[in-house]
Amino acid sequence: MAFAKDLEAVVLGVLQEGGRHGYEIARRIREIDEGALNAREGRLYPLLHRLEAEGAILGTWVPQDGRPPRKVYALTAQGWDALATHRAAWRSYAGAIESVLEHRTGVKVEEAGHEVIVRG
Amino acid sequence: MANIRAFLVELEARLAPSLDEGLLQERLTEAEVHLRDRAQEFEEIGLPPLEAEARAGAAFGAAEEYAEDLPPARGASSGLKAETRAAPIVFTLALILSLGLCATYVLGMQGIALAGVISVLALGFFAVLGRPLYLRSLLSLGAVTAGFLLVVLCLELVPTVSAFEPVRPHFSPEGGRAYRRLKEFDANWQQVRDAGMPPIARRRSRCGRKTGGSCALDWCVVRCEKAMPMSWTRTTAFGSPPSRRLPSDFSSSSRRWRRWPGRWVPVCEAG
Repeated sequence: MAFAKDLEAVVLGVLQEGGRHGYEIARRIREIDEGALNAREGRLYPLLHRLEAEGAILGTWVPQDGRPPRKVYALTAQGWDALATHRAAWRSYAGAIESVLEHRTGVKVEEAGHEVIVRG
Repeated sequence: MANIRAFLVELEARLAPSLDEGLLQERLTEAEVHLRDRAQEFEEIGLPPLEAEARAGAAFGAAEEYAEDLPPARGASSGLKAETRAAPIVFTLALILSLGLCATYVLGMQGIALAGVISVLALGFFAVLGRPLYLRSLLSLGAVTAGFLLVVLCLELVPTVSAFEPVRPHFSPEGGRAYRRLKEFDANWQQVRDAGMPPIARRRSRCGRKTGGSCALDWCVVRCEKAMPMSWTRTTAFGSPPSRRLPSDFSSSSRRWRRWPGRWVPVCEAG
């Protein structure tokens, strides 16, 4: 995972599908990214606790038969807003990177007296 | 399950200095459920239990990664935050302040003592607000304040013989002089009251351990001296010193009692 903010966006994105506990969130991320993000699962929990403290998600303890209870997290209204913000920011960022990487002018650019050739 | 247990013990050691007991147990339960589920997932693809647990732990990551966003453990050589270092200093200051308040109260300045108690409580609450590391300091501070209030309560409810120093009347039986002394006493009394100090505090500065009293035509006011030793029993002009405790029928007895802020002042009839 390149940036902590990326993991936050990914977690909020997973939770938009519905309430999930930590293990389910981690599993869902693995299913979607096929391991590309390579996030340590333990890193997920401090993030969940921070998001809960900030009010973006709400954690609820759910009892289980014969097993310890699970804490199920769900997006709050504030969390939906945060997700929308992340989505817009990511699209802007990805679009900018995409534009640079796909730029194919092949013109010469003079910069500070040096000649730089941008290859198409 | 040995690997998971060992991991949870390590995680607990990392988290315990930063979290209170309830939150700590929640975090450990959450981590344990995750690790069990993950280990079961590895077992389902054919790994032996111990290896499955080891793989689950590796996927979860190290305990220090989990705890790195939290304040560092107490005693850590690096990254010890200022708030952690300040906790014992805050407690020591509060302790000194509380002891000072006790002394202030014993010296008779209840108003200052009360303001000080409020200040200590305010200081404590501001210091601990939202910081689990300060919880122990808050509890200690609360215990010190509770002890102080208990001492105050005992001093208020159980006046002793040594707390009273009767004063010989020195009035004249002549009506005119006695009347003037009565007026003079009332004026002094009001002056002391206006100054915001109980009479005991003002008189000590002049008389040391002895307390004064003001007498009028047919009665006098006996001042209360809490700093007097228990063995000090001076016979009054009116007979025996007051009983150890307030008489149950003091309101109807020949001795009248007046409630001065913070203490009882007996008003005795002369002769």
